[in-house]
Amino acid sequence: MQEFEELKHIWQQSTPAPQPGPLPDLSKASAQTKTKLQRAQRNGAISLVITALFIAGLALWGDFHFKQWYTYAAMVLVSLICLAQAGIMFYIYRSIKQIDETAPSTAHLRQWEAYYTFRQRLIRWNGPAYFLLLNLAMGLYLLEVLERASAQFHLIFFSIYLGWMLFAYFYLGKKVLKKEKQRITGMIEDLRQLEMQLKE
Amino acid sequence: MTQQETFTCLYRQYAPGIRKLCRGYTGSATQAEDLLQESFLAVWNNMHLYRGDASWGTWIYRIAVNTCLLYLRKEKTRPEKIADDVLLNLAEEEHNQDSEVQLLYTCISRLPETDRLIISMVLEELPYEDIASIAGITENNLRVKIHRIKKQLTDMFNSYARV
Repeated sequence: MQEFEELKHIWQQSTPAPQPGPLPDLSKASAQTKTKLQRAQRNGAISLVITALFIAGLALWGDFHFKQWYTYAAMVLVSLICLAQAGIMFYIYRSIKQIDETAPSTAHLRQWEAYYTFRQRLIRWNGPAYFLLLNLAMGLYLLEVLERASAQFHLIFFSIYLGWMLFAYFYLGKKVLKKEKQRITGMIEDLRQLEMQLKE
Repeated sequence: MTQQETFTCLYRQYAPGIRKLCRGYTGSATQAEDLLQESFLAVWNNMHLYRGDASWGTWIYRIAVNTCLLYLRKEKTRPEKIADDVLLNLAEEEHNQDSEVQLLYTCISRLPETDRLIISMVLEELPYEDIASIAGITENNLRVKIHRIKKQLTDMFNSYARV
């Protein structure tokens, strides 16, 4: 019959070799949910900044010879909308980064709950606003670009454009948000269960 | 001292204890290595947040505990799945130090998640005050828990060791 002190003795016998092995590979990507969420926001923001710069570059040096000023204004608008959205994504990235992994589980849970509330509030207005503004700017741009195109071309173009936009907003966008929500709510649920275990 | 030098010192000092904590938590040496890597990755990423309110040890153990608690819940291979026959086989193996150590790790990994971490820190002889701070509970609550977990673990170990 072993007593707890004997188990402690067994545990202490299991001490690994004095050398704890090589240092961990710090360049390896973390599998933690926090890092995944951060990465998604950072990569999205970087892509949008690149897109904005590309469109602004086309407006400045594209040699398009548009006759209407509003076509150039539309290109600038698209760039600004992309930059604004990138700014929001960087802000979200920073908010996730500020969640303190070194806090006790209960404090950690409170921070994730606060982030979740903020994110849900943001999703309500940010998604529709971005979609609407981007399409208004695109509409303005297409006024001159498609001016001389045939009715048949208009029909085909707008069918494809509208189809893609609706697919991107209602399917791809919602899918990404759903995945993000699952990750956060999963983590909050786990933390709540752990908090319950600690309170028992 | 540069951040890299401080990190290397901390790793050399605390990695053996954290490895054992992770091993007790998962019951698996492979998963323990993954968790050790994740924990020290989090230590590296958060070193700028260390303000000296607690000792480096308490701070690092807190990160490891949070990493363990959140990491394993996502894994498909959960320690709860360690079947009884695995434990019986361990107990049946020739009675030597290694098999006793493995049996102890496996028994710990069958406790509820937070209990595994608490008992691992008790076995590692961390002060109760530090364990309470790491887990974010009061010292009184911790003492009650430790009493219960010690009994549960001893009973489980004895029941398999007797086979």
